[in-house]
Amino acid sequence: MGLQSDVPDIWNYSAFVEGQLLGSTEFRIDENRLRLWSGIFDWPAMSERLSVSLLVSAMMEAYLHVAQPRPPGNIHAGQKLWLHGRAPHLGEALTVTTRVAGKEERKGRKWLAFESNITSGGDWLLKGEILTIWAE
Amino acid sequence: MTSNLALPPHLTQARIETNATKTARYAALTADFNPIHVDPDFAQRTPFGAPINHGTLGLSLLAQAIETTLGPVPHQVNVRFSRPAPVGVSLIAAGDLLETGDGYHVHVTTDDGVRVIEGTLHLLEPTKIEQKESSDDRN
Repeated sequence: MGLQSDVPDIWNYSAFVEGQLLGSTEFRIDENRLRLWSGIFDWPAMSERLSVSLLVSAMMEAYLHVAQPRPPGNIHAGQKLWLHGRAPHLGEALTVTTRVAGKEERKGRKWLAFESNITSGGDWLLKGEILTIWAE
Repeated sequence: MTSNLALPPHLTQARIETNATKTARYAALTADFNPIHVDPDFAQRTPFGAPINHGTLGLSLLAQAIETTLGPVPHQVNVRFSRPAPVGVSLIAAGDLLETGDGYHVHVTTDDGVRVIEGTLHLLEPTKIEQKESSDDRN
């Protein structure tokens, strides 16, 4: 995986700015990734038809790489996904960009929304919005 | 959103039995080694009392139920993670056609009926996707 991000000492709520690009992450759908995924979901890893759920795990891995170190106690409260409907294939290279979509304090809680976009070449495969309650 | 497709009344269920081994694999797959998921000693000292599954594990299962039922169609999913799912429970992803006919009420439930993920699925017109791609190109 390649990683490009501008990471501060710790990602407290105050460190985030709406619209801020957190990083761009490169993935490849390799055999190790498929083996792990297959062992979780009982789905043949070498099937000709893989699952779009591989994009969900790629989105989370990219987010966790660029938004770290995080304070303990964050809560992943909600999730939006826009999916093109095409699953990745073995060996395919994916690019995941992650940015801050929004921040808001409500009823004493610090809400952050992170937008992820996954593309392969010129194809858009997934947009995700991770909604979290930030701990600090 | 689209309403000109004949959609089945329910999504084909997808199910997995969770356990510590699968949780460890999912942690490796996503690089999410939060001890609340993978460390029983740590988790015992939290309000959950035991390790809980990653939320997106259930969401991934839901994605599989959707694609198994509908095939490779553009769609939007909007869910909230309403309850933690302890490691060791079964997870069942399913959905019921909305009265509007253009999507589903979707959910992931444990085998004792607790809803851990809940939300909606709407199908998208391919033109919406094309418009979105064009919008991204401009940004």
